Amino acid sequence: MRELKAYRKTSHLLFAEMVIALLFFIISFAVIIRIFAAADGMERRERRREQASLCAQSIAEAYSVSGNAETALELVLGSGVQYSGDGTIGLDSSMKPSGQPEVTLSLAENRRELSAGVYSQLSICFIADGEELYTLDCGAYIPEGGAAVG
Amino acid sequence: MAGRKSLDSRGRTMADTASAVGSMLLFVLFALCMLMAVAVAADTYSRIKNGYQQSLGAAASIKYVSNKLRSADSVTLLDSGAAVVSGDMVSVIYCDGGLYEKSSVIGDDISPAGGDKISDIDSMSITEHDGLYEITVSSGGQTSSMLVRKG
Repeated sequence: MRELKAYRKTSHLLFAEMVIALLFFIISFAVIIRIFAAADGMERRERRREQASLCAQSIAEAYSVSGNAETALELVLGSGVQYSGDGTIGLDSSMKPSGQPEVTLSLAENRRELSAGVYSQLSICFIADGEELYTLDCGAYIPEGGAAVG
Repeated sequence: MAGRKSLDSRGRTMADTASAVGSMLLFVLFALCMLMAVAVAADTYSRIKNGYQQSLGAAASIKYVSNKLRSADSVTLLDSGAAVVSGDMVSVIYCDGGLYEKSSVIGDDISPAGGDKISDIDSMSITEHDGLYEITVSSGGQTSSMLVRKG
């Protein structure tokens, strides 16, 4: 009878140990999954940010040649860029125009007539998930008042 | 074992066996879950690492080439998508399973072969239009491009 009690006690302890181990595993696994999901999200965001920075620099380079924001956008994104109601442009994750945008591009242009010529400033802003992804402010004295590219 | 065999009740023995089997099943379940967790973690880590390397490789290559084009006194584009940039020295930038650069003194013949590897990319092309150079780089299925002002 004493042997039976000892055996049962050991068996129940093993069972309880396994249940506790499984519970601990489930909690740890949930935490690990959340960490990996966050890392995956950060990697995607970083990739979009990298694409946005290349796109913004391209727009700035094209703007310094053309002196016109719309022409610069056509040179970078192709012709027929669709503007939304608030004047922004919807882009996918590779910064191409898209009907189901992941990233929103907005531009603000400002021109000033100085004694040295026309100084144009352009603010380029990419927004994703309601947060600012990348911004670039650039300015240039536009050659021939912005008529370098037709 | 001798103690178990001495048990006189069949019901008690089966209950004890069921408890032991239940514990073992829980252990097997635990082991399977651990294997699954390791597999998922390894797959996710591999995906993140590959994506980061591809993105970094393409962006770094584009920025390297764009800086070369900006700093050059003159640029000659080749049909293969490569470019010859002249400054203090003459360099040819080309793609041959990776981004390569070969430099030589001015006046020497230079060809896109036998250069130093800069980064891992799949393809690269440099074109010009509307007073701009367009650098396009593909790496790991992802294509990135950038415009650089001429001159």
